[in-house]
Amino acid sequence: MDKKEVIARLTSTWADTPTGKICLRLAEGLLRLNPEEAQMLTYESMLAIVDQDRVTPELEAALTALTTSEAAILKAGGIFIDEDDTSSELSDEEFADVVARNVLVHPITGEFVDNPRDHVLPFFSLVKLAESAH
Amino acid sequence: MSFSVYRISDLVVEDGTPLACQIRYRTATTHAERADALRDLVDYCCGELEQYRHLKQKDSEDALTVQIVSILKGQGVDAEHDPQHGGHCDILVKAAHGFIWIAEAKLHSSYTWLDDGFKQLTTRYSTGVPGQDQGEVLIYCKAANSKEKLDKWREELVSRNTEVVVFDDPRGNPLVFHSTHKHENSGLDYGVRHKIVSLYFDPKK
Amino acid sequence: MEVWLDQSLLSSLRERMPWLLANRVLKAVGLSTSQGWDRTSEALASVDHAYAERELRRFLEEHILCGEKMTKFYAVGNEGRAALAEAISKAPLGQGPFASSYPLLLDEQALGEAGLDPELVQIVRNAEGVGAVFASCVNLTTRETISTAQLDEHSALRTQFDEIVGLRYRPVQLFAVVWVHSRHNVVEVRTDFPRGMTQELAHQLQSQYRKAVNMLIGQDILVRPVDLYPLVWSMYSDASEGKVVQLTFNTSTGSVKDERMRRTRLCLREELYHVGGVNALSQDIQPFHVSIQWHLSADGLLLAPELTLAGTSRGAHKVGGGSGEPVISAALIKDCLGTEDYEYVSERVLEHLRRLTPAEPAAATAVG
Repeated sequence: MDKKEVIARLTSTWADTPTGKICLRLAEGLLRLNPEEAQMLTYESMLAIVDQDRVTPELEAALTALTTSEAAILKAGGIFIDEDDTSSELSDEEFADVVARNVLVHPITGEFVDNPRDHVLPFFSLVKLAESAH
Repeated sequence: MSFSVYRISDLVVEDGTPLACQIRYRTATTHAERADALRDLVDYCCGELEQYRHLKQKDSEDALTVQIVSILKGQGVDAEHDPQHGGHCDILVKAAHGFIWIAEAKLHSSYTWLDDGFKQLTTRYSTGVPGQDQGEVLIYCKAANSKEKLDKWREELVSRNTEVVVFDDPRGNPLVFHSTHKHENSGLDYGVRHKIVSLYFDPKK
Repeated sequence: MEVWLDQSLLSSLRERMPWLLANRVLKAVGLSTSQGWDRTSEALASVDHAYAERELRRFLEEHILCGEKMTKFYAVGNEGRAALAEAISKAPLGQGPFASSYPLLLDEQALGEAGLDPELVQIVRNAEGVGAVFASCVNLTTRETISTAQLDEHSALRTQFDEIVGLRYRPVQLFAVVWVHSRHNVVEVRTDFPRGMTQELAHQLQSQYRKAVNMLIGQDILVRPVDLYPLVWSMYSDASEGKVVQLTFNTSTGSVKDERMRRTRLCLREELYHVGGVNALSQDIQPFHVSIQWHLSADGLLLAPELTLAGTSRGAHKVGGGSGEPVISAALIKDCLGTEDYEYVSERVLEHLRRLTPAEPAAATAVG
């Protein structure tokens, strides 16, 4: 999908719902970014784009829409930061395990990390769209 | 530590909440994981209907389905009611990488009506190809004793569709069972969850 | 004949290899891994897998030669290398517990009894050269935070402190390799550099082996390691050289920057923020610390070795002139599975040294 198709799809699916409004504002803001500067967008980045000071259910729903729908423009990921401040990017499966079951094996020691959700920074990256997008 | 305020634990992702299901849906790495998270979201939606069942007594089959779709959309799920997809299916959910999940929603009346729904789902709307190999039959039950109705439907399903194999819900929910059979189109296994939504309301006081 | 998987083989791998690498190795030899070491070891406790046993032993030996190393490169001419190679070939292997258990590591109790002195445990010969492998024991200190909630409820410490830090002294078996290259005028001294070891201790070990080599051959053949400081710029500025994952540098605007890529497979050289900063200045940045990662594959295995050249912000020039000592005397080469990826990194280092060394007619001591 290109940028126009993404906006059209989001509009037709979510129309004037609270989720739809924030979804479109977020999508338009994200699609204006240079993809190179959208490789690690945190919740704080998203809040700045939609001009909110806290994460709301509508913002979460918008992030779900933008990562899972046919008009997905984001990919979700996580960075594990250990006690020594060493960071490592989690694989998709590792991130899903942290989210679903709060389980993570330390990439170096091979031991279970205690309460890994406390040590994983969630982020999003912009996926590459079709040529006419930018 | 050098990361921003929003760690996963800062998002208060309490297991079992719709947000937790939503984030599992978002981070699923396989179609099966996505379908599993979606079913949990559907459970949440049906729970909302059940909680307010006293207000749903006059709602039609379509009206109830529209409410489920609306709640799913509010969770960021790309869901539609009555779209054209090989015919007019009740709930269509689409996601990236070709994921499609379809539900047929029926108000409990006759078992022929429920069987029509099952056959529409499995022979008309679904393709049964990878990523499109999971579906749902949702039964809105305004009569008493929904468990009995579901158990009866389970017997009827098997007697009317001899190729179908049924089994209990792996999570132990007595108001749910599952079926599987070879999809006529793809020749691959097609899984259906059968869920009854208990909407009976007849207060004695 | 059934061959049960040797648990001491697994525990040796566990002691040496980061889990990410070990997981790949276990899968590559056909073993199914569970989550983490404990569950994997339990699951493999009664596995009959003769092929896996042989292959794991091979991986362990390769990791001993090449995994998690601090390496110093010494320029040594043909004569010196030939003499050293011969001396190594004739050196008798040790008779102690390190040698008899090689390549397996001794357990903590056996380490306590083994003593700390290095022992020659293996001599390796291949087309690339000949190497002497030594084993020794050091005590490493690790710091662990102890929550006061873990203390006895009547302990006075609970009211006095919020957090207590404990020091754990652990004997650790280390390996060192003195490698005499056949194709390059170089001798490498590679010492294990595991997580938790200080640079100071690592350099002490390096010095110990340098002296041991000189004693073995009866002359000071290893004097001063090649200065790797010029490679920081050389490798950073070569866009074809892997991915820069960390760079620390001085700027002419009076700051010191430490930049690290958090996402895998992205390169700092191309990162928008880094490029923007560099292009905003008319003066070049002065990097003194670089980490570069390469992505390779061999026999279906993904390899991602990483090289670090770690200098200090003082750079190469000091008040009072240079002492002649190298600014960066050692390369830290980590995340190698074995010779394939280690030698790739080592070759890249030597290639850049060659580019930087002016050609001489009789290059007896030149690197190359």
